[in-house]
Amino acid sequence: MNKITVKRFDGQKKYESSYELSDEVIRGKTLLATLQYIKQNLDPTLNFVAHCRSAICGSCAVRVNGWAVLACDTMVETLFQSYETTTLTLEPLANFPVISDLVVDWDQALEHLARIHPTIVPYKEHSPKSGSVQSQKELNVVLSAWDCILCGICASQCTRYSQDKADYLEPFAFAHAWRTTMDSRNADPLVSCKAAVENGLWRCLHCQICMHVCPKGINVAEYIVDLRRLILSKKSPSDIHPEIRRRKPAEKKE
Amino acid sequence: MNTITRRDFLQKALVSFAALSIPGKSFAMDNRTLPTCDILIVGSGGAGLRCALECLQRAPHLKTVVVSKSMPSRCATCMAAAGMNAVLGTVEGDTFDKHLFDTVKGGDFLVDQAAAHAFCSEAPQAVYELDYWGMPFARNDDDAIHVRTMGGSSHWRTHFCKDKTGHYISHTLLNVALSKGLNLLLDHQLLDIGLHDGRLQGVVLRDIRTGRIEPVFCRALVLATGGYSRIFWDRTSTPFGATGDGIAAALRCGLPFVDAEMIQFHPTGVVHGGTLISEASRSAGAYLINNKGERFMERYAPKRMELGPRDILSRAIETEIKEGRGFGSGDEAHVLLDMRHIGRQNLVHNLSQVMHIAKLFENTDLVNNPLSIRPTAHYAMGGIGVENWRTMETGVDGIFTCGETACISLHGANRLGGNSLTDTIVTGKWAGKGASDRAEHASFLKGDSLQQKVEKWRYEFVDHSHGGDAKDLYVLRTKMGRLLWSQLGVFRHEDSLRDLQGKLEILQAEYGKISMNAPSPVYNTAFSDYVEVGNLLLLARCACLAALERKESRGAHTRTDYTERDDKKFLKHSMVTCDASGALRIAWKDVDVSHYKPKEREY
Repeated sequence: MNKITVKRFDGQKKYESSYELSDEVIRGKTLLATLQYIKQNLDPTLNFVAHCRSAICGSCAVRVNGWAVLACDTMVETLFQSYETTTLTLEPLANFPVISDLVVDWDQALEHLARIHPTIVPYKEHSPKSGSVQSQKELNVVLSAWDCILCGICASQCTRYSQDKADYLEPFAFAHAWRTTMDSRNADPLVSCKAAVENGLWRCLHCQICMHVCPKGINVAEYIVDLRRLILSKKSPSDIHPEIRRRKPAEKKE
Repeated sequence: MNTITRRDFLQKALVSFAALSIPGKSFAMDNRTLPTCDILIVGSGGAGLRCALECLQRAPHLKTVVVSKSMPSRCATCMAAAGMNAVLGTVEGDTFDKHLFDTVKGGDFLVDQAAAHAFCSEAPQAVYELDYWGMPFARNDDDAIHVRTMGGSSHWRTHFCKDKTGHYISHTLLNVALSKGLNLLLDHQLLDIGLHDGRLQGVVLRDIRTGRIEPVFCRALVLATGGYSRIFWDRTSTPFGATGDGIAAALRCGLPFVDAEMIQFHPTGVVHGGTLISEASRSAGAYLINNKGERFMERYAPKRMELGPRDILSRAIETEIKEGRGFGSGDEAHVLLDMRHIGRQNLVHNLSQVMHIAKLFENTDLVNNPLSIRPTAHYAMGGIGVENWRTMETGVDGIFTCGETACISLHGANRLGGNSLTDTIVTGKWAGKGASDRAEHASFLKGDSLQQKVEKWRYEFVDHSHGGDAKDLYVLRTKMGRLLWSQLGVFRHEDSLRDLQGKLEILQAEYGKISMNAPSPVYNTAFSDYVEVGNLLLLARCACLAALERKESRGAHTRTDYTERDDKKFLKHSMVTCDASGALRIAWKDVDVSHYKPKEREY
C-alpha cells in the first residue's frame, strides 16, 4: 500500500494524518489529483489550495519529503519511484506562515514584493495613450523572468532566507527586481535595483538552489549576479546587456 | 461558535478586518465600529485589478479594497493564453468598424452594438495602457506590438506574448497595484450582498483564514468574480474558483442574470479534464483531424477552416464524434489536433504552455504526435445585467460589475478569441470610473438587513459543517457537472432540458440537506466548496431555464429541436431573476442592433 502522511495544523495544534492509497487510486494521477481524491473520499478536513491545475497560477505548491513542488505538475507515482519508498510526507511550504494544513499566508510575501517596486518607471516620451517602444531583442532580455508564477517554491527552499528572514527576501522578489531593472522601457532602472540592495541583494549565498527547484526554470541566482554586476560597474543596464538600446534619459543620469 | 457577544464582535471587527478600519473613515452604528471601505472590489483577476487601478488613480483619497478568495494571480485571467484584440492601426485595412462587425457576426447578432462599438474603439487604449505599465508584448520589426490571427477575425488584430498573454497581464496589473500600495484582502469569500431600501449597504464576507463571517459596509461595490463555467465541473477549462460567486450574490439581491444560457464551449480542451489548448495553436496552423484522417472543418467552415469561430468548431467536433468519425467513446471520445507540421522550434518558442499541458494531461509530445482533444466549457457570455455600460452600474444603486461577471453583451451568443482579455481591461476601467464617482458622494447606509444576512450565514456554517458526510457534497458536484455536460452541453433539446430542470431541482433539495463533518472554522475549504456548489447550482438552474425558453439555435446555444436562428422571436436577451423563495422567472429585453442588421453567418 502507498502511504501519504500530511503534517497538519488546525490553527492551534500540529498533528499528522496518514492516508493509504492503492496503486489503482494513484495510477496516472498528479499529486494535486491525489490530494483531491483524499479530500473528497477520505478526509474532508484536509485543507490545500489549487486553481488552474496547469502549472500557471502557482497556488498548489507543497513540500514532498522536504522538497517543494507544484502539486498539479508532479505525478505521484513518479514521486514514490524516485524516492524508492512507499511513504511520502507532505508539508506546507517552508518560510511562509502556515494558516492550516498545506495552506500558507501570502500577505507578507506580497508586502515583500511591493518593497522591490516591481514595476517600471515609464519614460516621459511614453504615455498610456500611445504605449511605449521596445524591440523584440530588448524584450527577450527580460522575458524569462516573466515566467514567474509566484508559487513560492524558491522561497521555501532558499538557503539564505531559511537562515534569517529579517534581512533578506524571497528569491522571486529579486527576479522581479531584475526584470524591472533590465526592462528597456524603464526610465529609472535604479529604483528596483536600489530596493534590491536595501533588502539583501548582497546576502545571497549562491547555492543556486532557487534555480534548481523553480518549476518554470527561472535562474534567479543568475539575476542576482547580474544586478550585482550592474551595481559594481556603475553602468547602465544597456552596458550589461548590449541588446538594450541606450535612450536619452538614461544617458542624462550617468 | 454562533453566539457572538458584543465584545467578541468588536474584537473581530477590529482585528480580523483591521485592514478595513482606518482612522478617520470608520463608520459607527449603535456605538460599534464596523469595518468599512469606500470602494470594495470583489475579485482580483484582470477586471478587478484594472478597476482598482482606475479607482486609485481617480480617487486616491478614497479607500479602495480588493477582496480575493485566494491571491490575485490565481485567477482565470492568468490562464488566458492567446491575446487581446484591438485595432492599433498597425495592420493595413483594419478599422474599429471591422472589429465591431467581426464581434457582432461572431456573436450571432446578439451583441449590443453601441456598447460593443465603444468597446472596439477603446480597445487600443487597453493595450497601450498595459504596454505603458510594463506588460511584455511580442514586438514586430518596427518595435511596435506584434499581432496574430484568431478565429472569426477578418484581420490580424490579436496582440500577444507567447501563449501566456493572460499570465503576463495579471502579473503586470498585480505589480502596478503592489507598487501603488493597493489594499488587498486575501482569503476572503463573498457570501451575500446587503441592501437597504433597494440601495447598496454592504457585503457579507467570510474570512476563510479564521472562519469569521462579518459585514463590511461600502459606498460602492464592484463585482468582478469571473464566470461560472465550473457548473460543468470536470469538463471546463476554467480554474476551480470560477464558481460565479458574484453573479449568484447579485441574483439573490434581485439583480437579473442576462443570457445565462450563453456558455462558450472552446473547441480544444484536453480529453482528460478539459484544460485548455489555446487557440494560439490553431493561429499557428494546427489541423483538426477525424478518424478518417480528414481535415473535417472543410465541411463546416470551408473558408476559415480551423480558424472559424469557436461555436462552429465545437459543433463540428461534436458532430464528427456523434456521427462516428471520432476516436474513442463515452468520456474518452475525441478528435485529434495535429501540430507536428508547425515544427519544434516554433512550438518551443511560441507555444510552450500548450506543449506543457499536452504533456501533463495526455502525455503527448506535440512535436511528434497529434493531441486528443474535445470541446470544453470555457467562457460565460452572460452575466449580471448592467443598466449603463459607461459606468457598468447595475439596477441596484451602488453595485457595479465588470469583466466576465458582467453582461453588457459585448460577446452576444459567442465570444471571439482575443476579446475577453480586452473586455477585462476596458470594462474594468469603466467600472472603476463608475464606482469611484459613486463613492465620492454616496454615504454609508444604516439598517439591519446586512446584519441579518450575517447572522443567517453564521447559522449556515454551523448547520452544514457538523456531522453528516462531506462525500455527499463532492458526489453531488460531480453529478451536477456530468448532467449539465450531457444535457446542457454543445447540443440541447426540449426533452433533455425539461428532464435536467427536474433533476436540478432534486439536486437543489439534496444540497440543502448536506452536512459535512468538517467543523473547524480555520481555513475550512470544505465549507468554501459547499458555498461554491450552492452558487453553481443556482446558476445552472438559471442557465437551464433560459436554454429551455430560447427556442432557437444561436451562437453557442444549439437546439436540435429548433435548428435555425429565429430573429423574429429571439433577437432578445434572456433575463432570469430569482425571488426570495428561490423561484426563478424569465423575461426578455431587446438587442441593440444600431450598426449592423442581422444576416446569415458564413465562414
